[in-house]
Amino acid sequence: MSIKFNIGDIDRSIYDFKYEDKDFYRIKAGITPEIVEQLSEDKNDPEWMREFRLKSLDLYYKIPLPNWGPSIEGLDMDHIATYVRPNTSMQDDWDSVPQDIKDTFERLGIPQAERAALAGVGAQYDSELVYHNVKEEVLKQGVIYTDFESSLKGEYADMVKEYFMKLIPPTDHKFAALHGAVWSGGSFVYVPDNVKVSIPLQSYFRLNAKGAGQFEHTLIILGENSDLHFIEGCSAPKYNVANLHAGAVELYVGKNSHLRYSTIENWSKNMYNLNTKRAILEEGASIEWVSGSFGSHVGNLYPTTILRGDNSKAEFTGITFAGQGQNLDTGTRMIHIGKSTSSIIDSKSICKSGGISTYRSSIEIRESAAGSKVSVNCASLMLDSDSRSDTIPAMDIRTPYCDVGHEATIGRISDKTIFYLMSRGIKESDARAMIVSGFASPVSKELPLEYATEMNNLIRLEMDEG
Amino acid sequence: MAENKVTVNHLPVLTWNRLKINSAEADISKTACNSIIYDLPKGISSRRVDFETALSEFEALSGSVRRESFVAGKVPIYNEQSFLTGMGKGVDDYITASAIPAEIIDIPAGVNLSEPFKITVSGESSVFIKAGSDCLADIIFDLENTDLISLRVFSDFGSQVKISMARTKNKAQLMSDFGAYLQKSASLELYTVLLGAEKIYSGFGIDMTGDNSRFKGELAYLRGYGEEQDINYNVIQRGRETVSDFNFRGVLLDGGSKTLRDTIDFRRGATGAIGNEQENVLIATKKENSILNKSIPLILCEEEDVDGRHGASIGRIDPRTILYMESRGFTPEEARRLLIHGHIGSVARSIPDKNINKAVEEYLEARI
Repeated sequence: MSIKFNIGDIDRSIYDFKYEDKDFYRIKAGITPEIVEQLSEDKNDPEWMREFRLKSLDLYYKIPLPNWGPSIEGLDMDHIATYVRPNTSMQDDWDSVPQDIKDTFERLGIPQAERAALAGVGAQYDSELVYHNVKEEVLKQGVIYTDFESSLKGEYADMVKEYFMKLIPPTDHKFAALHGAVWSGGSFVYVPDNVKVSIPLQSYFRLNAKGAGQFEHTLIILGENSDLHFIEGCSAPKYNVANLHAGAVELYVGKNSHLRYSTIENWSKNMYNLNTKRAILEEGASIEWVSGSFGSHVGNLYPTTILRGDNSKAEFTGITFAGQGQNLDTGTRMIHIGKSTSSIIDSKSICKSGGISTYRSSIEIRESAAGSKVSVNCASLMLDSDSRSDTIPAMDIRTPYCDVGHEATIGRISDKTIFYLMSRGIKESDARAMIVSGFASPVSKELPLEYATEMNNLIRLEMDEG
Repeated sequence: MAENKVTVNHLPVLTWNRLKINSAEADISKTACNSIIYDLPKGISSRRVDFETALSEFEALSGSVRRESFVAGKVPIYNEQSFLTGMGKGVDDYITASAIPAEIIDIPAGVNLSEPFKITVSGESSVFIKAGSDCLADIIFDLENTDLISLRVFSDFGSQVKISMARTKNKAQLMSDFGAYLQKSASLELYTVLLGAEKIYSGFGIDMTGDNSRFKGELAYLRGYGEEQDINYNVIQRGRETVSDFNFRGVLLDGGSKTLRDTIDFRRGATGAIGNEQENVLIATKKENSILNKSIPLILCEEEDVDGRHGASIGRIDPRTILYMESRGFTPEEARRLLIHGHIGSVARSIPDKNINKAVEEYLEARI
C-alpha cells in the first residue's frame, strides 16, 4: 500500500498581522467622478493629471470586463476604498516613521534588508509611501529614486509627464483605466547614461487597510549603457472582504542597457491582484523578469516585453504556487519587433489543495523581426487531484526568418524518481521535498540570497505521513 | 447559393481577444449536390437517415458522457455538443438547417476487415461510423471533391479502427469536421493529409471515455500564396490509462497562413493517462514574403496522476541540414525539395492507397 504524503500550504503567518487604521484618512468607497476629483485635490495633482484621471475614469466605465481568465465576480468596486493614507508624511529615516508602521516593516525585514543588501528602499503603506531613502553613493552617480508624487513636481516633471502611462495606456484594459483614474504612490527611477547601479533598489508595498485598493505606479527609465536591479515585494494581512491591487509598472530600457526586475508577490488570500507590468527595450537592451507569485485570491499577471530595438533580449523566469482558495492566472507576453531579438521563457507552476494555476502567454513575432529566436519552457506540477493546472500559450509568428521552440509538460512527482532517491537511502518525505525544491530552484537561484531564502521559506514543505 | 457565416474551431477556454485565436469565422456557400460513393465489404451495412436522427442515435451511444454546462475555469461555450467534434456545434447546426442527410455505416462486432475500403464523398456530406466491439477496420476517405464533411466515429469496446483522409485537389474551400468517442480498450488511428483548397478548416474532437483507450493521429499540410489553414484539435481524456498522441507536420511557403489550436484535456479520474502532442512547422519560403503561423497548444488538467506533453518547433530548414545534403551531392534546391517531401510524405505513406500516395507526390512536385 502506498503512503500518501501531504505537502503543506505556504506558511503565511509572518505576513498575517494587522493594525487598526483608526487615525488614517480614508476616501469614500466606490468609483465616481466625485471621488476621483477628491483624490486629485487631496494629492494636489497638476491640472494635466486631474484631466488624465477623469478621462481614465470615463474609459473605466466604458471598457467591459474581460471574457477570459479567472472570475472576478467577488470584487465589488462599490466597496473598495481607492485611497487610504496614513497620517504621516514620507520620511527618510526609520525613527520618524510612526511606530505601528515601523513595526510592520521591521517584522517584514525591510530595514534589515536595506542595511544588508540594498542601495535604496521605498516603503508604501496603503496608498502612500511612508519611507524612502537612497544611499549617498547612488545619488552621486546621478540616479533618481523618489516617490511618484514628488517626481510629478520636481526637476523631472516633464520627463514623467512624457512617459506616464504611455506604455500602459488607460485604453489597454479595464483595470489599466481604473489605475489611470485612481493611482496613488509608487516610485520613479531614472538611471542616467553609462551608470551601473551595482546593488539593487527595492520597493515594498504593504496594504494594511480592510476593503481597500492599492494602485501604485512604478516608472523606471534607464538611459543608454546603464544597469539596474529593481526588487518589488508586496504583502497584506488577510481580511474576510475583498482587497484590490491594480498597480502599473512601466519600464523603459535604453540602448545597450540592462534591467533586472524581481518580484516576490505574497498578497493575502482575499486579494484580487490585477496588476500590469510592461517594458520596452531599445537596441541591444535586455531585461530579466524574475517573478514569484504565491499570494492573492485571484491573480492576473502577465509582465509584457516589447522588444523594439534590434538585438534586444528578454528573459522571463517565473514560479506560481496556487494553494487552497487561489486562482492564479500568470504568465508573460513577448512582442518581437526589432531584428534579431530573442526571448527565453522558463515558467513553473505548482498547485495543491484545490488551487487553480494557469500559465497564459503570448509570443508575437512581427514581420519586421527577422532573425528572432524564442524558447519557451513551461512545467506544471500537480500535487493532488483537487487542484487544476492549465497552460494556455499562444504564438503569433509573421516572419519566415525565425526559430521558435516551445515545450510544455504537466504531471505529478514521478514514482520512479522517488524510488530512485529512496534506493539511495533518502526517506520518501525528504525525496518529495527535494523534488519540489528542485522544481522551484530555477527561480530561487535567480534571486539575491536574502530573497531566495524568503522564497524558500514560502515554499516550506511540511511533509507528514497521513 | 445561400451564404452562411459559421463560427467554428472554438478553443475550450478563451484567451486574449486581440490575438484573434479564440475561434474562426468560416463562410459556407451551399453546394447543390452531395454524394457518397463506396463499395462496402461484405457484412457491413449502411443506411441513410436525416442528420438529427443520426446525431441522436450516436449521442445515445455515448450516453455515459454527461453534457457539461460548466467546467471549472472554462467558459460556457465549452462542450456544447454531447458528441464532440473539432469544429463544433456551428457545423452541426448548418448541416441540420441545410437538410444534409447522414450516412450511417455499421461495422458489426467482431468483424475483421484486414483490407482497407474507400469512401468517396462529394459536396457536403455527413457520415457516421459505428464500430462494433472487437472489430477491425481500415477506412479511407477520398476528399478530392468535398466541400464539407462531418464525420463521427463511435468505437465500441476493444475495436481497432484506422481512418485516413486526403485532399490534394485545389478548390475554394474544404471543411473537415471529425469527432470520435472511444469506449474501453478501443483504439483509433487517424491519418490526414490536407493540401488542396484555398481555405481549409479542420477540426478533430476525440472523447476518450473508455479506460485503456488509445488514439494516435497525424496531420500533414502545406500552405502558401494566400492559402489558409485553420485547425482545431481537442482530445478529452476521461478514462484511466488512456493514451493520446498527435503529430502535426506542416510546411509554410511564401504567403502561407496557418492557425493551430490543440488541446489535451485531462479530466479528474483519468489516472495514468498520457497525452502527447507535437507540432513541427517547416518554414520553406524562398523570398522575403511574410507568413502567418498561429499556434496555441493547451494542456488542461484536473488530475494529478497524468503525463501531458506539448512540443512545438517552428523554423526554417536548418542550414546545416542543407549543407550536409550538399556534401552528399544534392543542390540546395534539391535538398529543400526532398526535405519538404519527407516532411509531408511521412504522413501520406501511412495512408494505404496508391492513388492517394501518387496524388500527394504529384501535388508536392507541382507546388515546390
